[in-house]
Amino acid sequence: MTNSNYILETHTLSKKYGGKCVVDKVDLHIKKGEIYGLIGPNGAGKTTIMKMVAGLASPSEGEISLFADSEKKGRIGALIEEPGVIGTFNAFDNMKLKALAMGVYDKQNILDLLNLVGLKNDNKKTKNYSLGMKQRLGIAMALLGHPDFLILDEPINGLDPLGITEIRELIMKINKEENITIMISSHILEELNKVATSFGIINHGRLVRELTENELRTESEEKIEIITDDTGLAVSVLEKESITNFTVVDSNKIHVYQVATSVADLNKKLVTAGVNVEGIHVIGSSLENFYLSCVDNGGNKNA
Amino acid sequence: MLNLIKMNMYRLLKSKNFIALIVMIVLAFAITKVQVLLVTGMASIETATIDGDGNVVYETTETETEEVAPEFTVMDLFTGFGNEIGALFVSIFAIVYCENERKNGFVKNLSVAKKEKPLVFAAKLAPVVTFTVLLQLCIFLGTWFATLTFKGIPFGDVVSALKFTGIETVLITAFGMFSMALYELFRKNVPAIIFGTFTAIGLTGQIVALIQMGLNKLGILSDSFCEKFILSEYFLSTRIGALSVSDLSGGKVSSIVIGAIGLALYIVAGMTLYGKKDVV
Repeated sequence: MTNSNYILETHTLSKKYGGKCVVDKVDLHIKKGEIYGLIGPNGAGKTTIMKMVAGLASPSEGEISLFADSEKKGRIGALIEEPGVIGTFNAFDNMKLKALAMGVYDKQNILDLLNLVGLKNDNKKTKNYSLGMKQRLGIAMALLGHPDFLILDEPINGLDPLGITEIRELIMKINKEENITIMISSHILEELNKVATSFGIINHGRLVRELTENELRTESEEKIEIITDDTGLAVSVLEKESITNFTVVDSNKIHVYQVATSVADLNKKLVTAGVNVEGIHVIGSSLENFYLSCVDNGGNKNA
Repeated sequence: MLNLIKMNMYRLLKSKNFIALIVMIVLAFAITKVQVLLVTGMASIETATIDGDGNVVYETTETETEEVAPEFTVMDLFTGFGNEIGALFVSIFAIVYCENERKNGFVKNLSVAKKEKPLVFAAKLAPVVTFTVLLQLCIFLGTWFATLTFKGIPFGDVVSALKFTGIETVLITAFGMFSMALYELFRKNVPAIIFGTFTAIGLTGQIVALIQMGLNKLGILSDSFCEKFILSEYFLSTRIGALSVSDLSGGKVSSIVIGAIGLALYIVAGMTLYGKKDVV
């Protein structure tokens, strides 16, 4: 079943290589206009998912629904792994080759795109380009033909801090100005958090969590985790203390957000009210901790 | 498809393939030169004499070209040039052309969200045909330049030579597409080049002929079948090597048919492999 709000939906998307499952029943949902960050450690299956979405690899199982509601099917631009450029050609000729293959050759458009990514139209062969320049060219090539959906696989990999900032700004610019939906992968959540508006966390080929920017902020902010076998009583104590910003995670776990009181005070109040507190501590003090808690537990078949 | 062809032609013309073509001109020139010298017996003769001071003096004398009326024409030399060499060049070109595209990742640009992915393979026919025609032209130029260094070699029958070249072009192009399909099968250039080279120089055909003989001796294939069908004769490489301008009438139709079938077969095989396998 496809939803018209989504530009991309996958349903139980799986990929096996020689019997080994590298992507395992992944259900992704990417809305129009958003920057979707796919995060996971190296070898988690991010690139394989992107290859399948871009049509460079066939799924072993499952479905991919792109531009489900569009009357006219949109275009996809992709930069998967390293930029695919012919080293003996200059940037313009590489762009021209791709434009010719797509049937969209327009010299001015190529020059505009090179300008957009901050590259000069000169005779410098791309084999003499730095990694950052190659990444920029890769993005420019992916933007040929005015795509509606852009797939960028680790575009900041190997870049220096200045290069990372420039690519980040470029991604945000093309998302806003060109209204292009972007799927971007990285293994650095801190970096992805600066550009993405929603996230998919992947580990061992499985999608562990899918969450919006706000949900991520909530999840990764400092909170108190209360572990007790009587969550009902604990909730009544919290409400009595006028603490309303909390979530009952499961039958023996409560997360309390934006607490003014200290852990010790809260513990004292709970114990005094007769709550059997098995554990109480501060968690999720950073994005990194949140990410690690997801990849350490979620999706790990051996966990 | 037309867009992909345009892209391939632009890439072909922008690449440094002319180096291979220059090599072919030089090769055709050298081989023809040696061939004419050997056939006409006009090799230079070096003689050693001792002068009045007792020093050994070497003298080289060459037979005058006018003295021997050659019994062959420029067109004979051109059409007689080893087309297996041409097939080998085209085979290596086809494999390297595909390998470069895959090695530098450019192939990803061509296949993103393409439903008609196999057409990416089919469009490569354009550079293979162009390269084959240019190669034939280079063989002609090399041969012709070599004959200009001799006197009295007539130009010969251009029409027959063109017919012969046309058929050879079909056969060699088909062989080029076979090499590309071979590369798509292995996705590695070394085994593809080794197998392509073996086939171009006729080794694969000879192995098949030996297998046929063996099967005949074992009684698996009947004598009448083996007399009627010599399997290696249906090989592109066998046809490329065996076709002769003087015997054009006999082998012309069958060679065109074998070339056309081979071309279609290997394009379809390559497209199927390209479509079935993951691009990267």
